[in-house]
Amino acid sequence: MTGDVLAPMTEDEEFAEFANAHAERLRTTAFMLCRDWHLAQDLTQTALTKLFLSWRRAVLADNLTAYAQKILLRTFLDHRRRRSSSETVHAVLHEPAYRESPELRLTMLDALGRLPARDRAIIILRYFEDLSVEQVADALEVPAGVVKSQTRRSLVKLRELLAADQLTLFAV
Amino acid sequence: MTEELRALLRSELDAERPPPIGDIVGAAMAAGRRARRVRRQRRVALGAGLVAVLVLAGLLLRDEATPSRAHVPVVADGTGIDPHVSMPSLSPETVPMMTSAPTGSPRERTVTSHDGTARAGGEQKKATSAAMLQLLTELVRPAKTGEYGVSAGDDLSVRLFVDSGAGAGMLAVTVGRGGAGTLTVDVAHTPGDCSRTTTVTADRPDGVRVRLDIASCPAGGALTAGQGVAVVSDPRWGFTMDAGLVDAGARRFPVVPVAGR
Repeated sequence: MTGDVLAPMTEDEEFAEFANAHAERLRTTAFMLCRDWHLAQDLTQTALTKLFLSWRRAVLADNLTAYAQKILLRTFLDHRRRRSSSETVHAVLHEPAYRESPELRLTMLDALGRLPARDRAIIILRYFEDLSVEQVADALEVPAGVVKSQTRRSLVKLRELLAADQLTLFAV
Repeated sequence: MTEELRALLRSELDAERPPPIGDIVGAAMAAGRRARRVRRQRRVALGAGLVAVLVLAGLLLRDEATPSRAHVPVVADGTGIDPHVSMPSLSPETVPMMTSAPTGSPRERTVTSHDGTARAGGEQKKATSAAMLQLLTELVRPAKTGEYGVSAGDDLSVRLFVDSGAGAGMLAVTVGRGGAGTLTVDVAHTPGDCSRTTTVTADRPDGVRVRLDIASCPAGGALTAGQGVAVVSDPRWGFTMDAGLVDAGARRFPVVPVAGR
C-alpha cells in the first residue's frame, strides 16, 4: 500500500456514503410528517431513490442535506395528494378517544399530527430540521412570506392543542 | 423557543421504538439502477422509433418527388415496358389483388364445381392467351406491366413483366391439366433460379392446374408468395374463361409475340 494513492470515489460510492449517514434522520423526519414508521420507511427509500437518480445535480446544491429534505418533503406531499381523501377519513375514524379527553395530555407529535400536512411540514423543517425560512420556502415552492404566516398560524394552533405546562415553550 | 421545541420533539421521538432501518440505502440504489435501465431502454426505443419514422418519411418524400409523367398506354405488341410510362409506386404488399370474379355482371349465373368451389359466373368461351394476359394484368393492377409473351405451342401459357414500384420481375402463368378431388395450393421456392424463384401451383377439383412462376430478377420480384396464391386462386382461370375477358383480351392483345422461353 505504500505510495498508493486513494482512488477517487465513484458517484455511487459518494451517494452511498451520504445516504448511509443521513438515512436515519430522513426517516425520523418522514415519521414526524406521517406518524407511521412503515410509511416513513417507504417515503425515505423513495426519496433516496430520487436522490440517487439526480445525484449529479444534487451534489451541486449549496446544502445537500436540505436538498435531500426537500426531496423527502415533496415525496410526502405527493403521497398525501394521491391518497388524501382516504387518509382523511381514516384519521377521523381511528382517532384515539384519549386524545379527546381533557385530562390526558396531548403530545407534541399528536398535536403536529393535527396540523394540515403542509403546515406540519413547515413546523418540522423550521424547528426540527432547523431550516431557514428561505430554505423551507424553496422546499415547498412558496414565497417566504407564506412560510412566515403559516408558521405563526401553526404555532397558535399548537398552543391551543397542547397542555398548559407546555405552553411556556411557545412564550415569545 | 426553537431549542425548547426541538428538545420536546426529540424527547418524544426518543420514546418511539422505530423498526430496524435495514439496508434502505442498498434498496434505494437498486431501485434507482432499475429506473435508470428503464429510462435507457425507453430512450433507445424512442430513438429507434424516431429513426423508423424518419426513414418512412424519407421514403414517402422520395416517392412523392418522383416526377409525374403522362400516362401512355402500353401497346400490345410485346415490345416491352415503355420507360416513360409512369405507374403508381406500390410495394408488392400493396398491389391489390382481385380474388373473385367481378360483381355486377349483367349475365351472372352460377356454376357448381365438384366440391362446391365457386367459379366465375357469366358466359364462357374457350380460353385464349390474350384473355389470360387480360386477366393477369387485371389481377396485378395498378402495377406497371409489359413484355407480354405467349408460349410457342398450344399451351395456355403467358408471361409478362410487372413493375410494382418496389419490385419488378417476370410472371408466367400456365393453365393445364392437374389433380382433381380437392383444391390444393402449393408454394415452392427455387433460390438458385431467379427466373422462377417462387412457383405457386393451384390444383382445382375440376381438373384445372394453374401455375404461376414469379421471377426475382431483375429487381426482387413483383409479387410475394401470398400475392401469388391470390393470383392462382382466382376462379376465372380455366380452359374456358369469361366471355368478357376473352373479348377484352382479343381487343387489347390482338397480336402477342411468342416468348423465347
